[in-house]
Amino acid sequence: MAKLSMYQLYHYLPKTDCEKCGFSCMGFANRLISRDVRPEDCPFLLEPEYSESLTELNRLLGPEVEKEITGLIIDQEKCNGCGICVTVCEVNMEKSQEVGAGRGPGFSDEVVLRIDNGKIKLVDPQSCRRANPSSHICRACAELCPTKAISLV
Amino acid sequence: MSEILYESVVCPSCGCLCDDIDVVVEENRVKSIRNVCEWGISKFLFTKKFTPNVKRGRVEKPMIREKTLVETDYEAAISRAVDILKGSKKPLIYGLTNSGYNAQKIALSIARRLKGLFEPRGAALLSSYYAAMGDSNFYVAPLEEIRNNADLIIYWGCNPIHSTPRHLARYSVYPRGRCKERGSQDRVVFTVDVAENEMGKLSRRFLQVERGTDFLVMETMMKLLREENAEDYKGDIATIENMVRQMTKVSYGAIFFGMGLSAKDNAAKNIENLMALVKELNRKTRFVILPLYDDFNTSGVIQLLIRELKSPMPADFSGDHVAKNSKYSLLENLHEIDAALVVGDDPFWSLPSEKSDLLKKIPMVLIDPYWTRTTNKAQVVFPTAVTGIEAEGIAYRMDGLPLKLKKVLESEYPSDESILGDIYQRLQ
Repeated sequence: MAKLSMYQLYHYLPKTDCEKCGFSCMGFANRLISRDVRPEDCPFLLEPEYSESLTELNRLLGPEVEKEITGLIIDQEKCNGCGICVTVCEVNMEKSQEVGAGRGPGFSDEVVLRIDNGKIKLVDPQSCRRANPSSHICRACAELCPTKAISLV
Repeated sequence: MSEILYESVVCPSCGCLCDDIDVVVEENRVKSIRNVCEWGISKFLFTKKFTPNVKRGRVEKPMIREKTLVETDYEAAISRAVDILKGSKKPLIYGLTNSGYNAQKIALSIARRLKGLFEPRGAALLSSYYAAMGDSNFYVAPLEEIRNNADLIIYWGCNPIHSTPRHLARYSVYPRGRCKERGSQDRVVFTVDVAENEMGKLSRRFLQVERGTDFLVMETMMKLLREENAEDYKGDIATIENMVRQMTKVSYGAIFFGMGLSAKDNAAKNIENLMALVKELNRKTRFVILPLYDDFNTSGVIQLLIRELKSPMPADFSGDHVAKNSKYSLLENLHEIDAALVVGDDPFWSLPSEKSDLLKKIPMVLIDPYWTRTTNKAQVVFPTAVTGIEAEGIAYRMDGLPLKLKKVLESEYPSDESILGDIYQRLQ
């Protein structure tokens, strides 16, 4: 999934800041990226004069996807279970030193990510750094995934 | 319904032999597996590689060929196999990279008794590597040492994402080591290959080479290391210069090479130059070199040859009682052989057609758990348990560490070790 910027989406919005959706237009663009709202939630975009903008926004955002609370989207088809995300995850390492050194987590290790049946699985989203709104900076698992099976919104 | 949990099982799929696999078994079926890659799960569920949804057809009964393959009992199949092998003057024993160490040992004894040829799969590249290693110096290290110390990793002619998926996360680039506390941030990765792949995108530098000309790149690198003129090289000289500069700066480097180096029958030449390059690099800093095996016990069969015959080359027992093994591959003289015993491999898939066509003309005994292209050409086919899942065994990791493979599922099929043992007994 291509990385989107707030300004890229803002360009297609009405820029009226009417707050009918509950946010300013820039705030709406931000929530579009995090997939908390859909373009159809803006009443202006449903009008005929904005139909092109609406089509373009839907193209950029892609179909509605199932995301975790941390914004993690896993494409099970692409994942080959290499376990790079499990090793590089900082929280996994804090919970078990051995996981940081490459060993797969054991049954007693309470980790965020683990490989289950050959595919990546988010087992404890609440512990992920991204679950805390004040620290939305960690993108290690998505950036280092060789098959691009993980994306973050 | 009771569940059985097997912890720290060794995965028998690639040369990494990951030893942290947790398997839950219910009613003699694998219910769930943790820490296993997509290839590993394909092995545990008996499905196609990287496609865990597609079941592989298993050979269910011993079969012998009349006009077509017909099912028979185990004893009849053994006598037919023994007749074929006894009647041949120069049989070939081939494959064995997916068998346990003890099965490989019996297969070597069979080759010795029958005065035949013994060739593991992919020997051309690997034997030349071990031979070059013996000639120069032992530039090897345990994978754990590479994880702890290496700050430069080079993948040459291989794609670990496909051949050994967990290698990157467990032993080379991403794990945090004793002296590399930040993991991948403390390391640099280079890839040399014929086309840019996923690995090339992960690497700091990617060098594209023309197929079969890797030895020229190695020669150029050596020239640059000796500060000689290397302008006669026609390829991407800027990247090579940059790589060489970085190679001399690091404190510990590791080169992993794969089957890409055996392209266009240049395996021996490529390995010779690569070893010379490593030797040259070791004058300035510490460098190690390891092959990346895609079969789980390739290392074991080469170790067996070194132990028994003091040389890693494929063995030729024909002629006198002394084993002649001085050639990197015996498959050049395939027209001389008159029978074959293939264990756990599919030569009609893995060998080039000009070589495998010669195998069509001779009777073949096959020991393999699955239906393959070779099954349709074989005279005798034995079903067998999968080593490491349905049968115990010993396997050697790519750096030479022996590990014990566990048995997690009960199987009605005999192991390849017991089939080979029965054949060997009848030959006496």
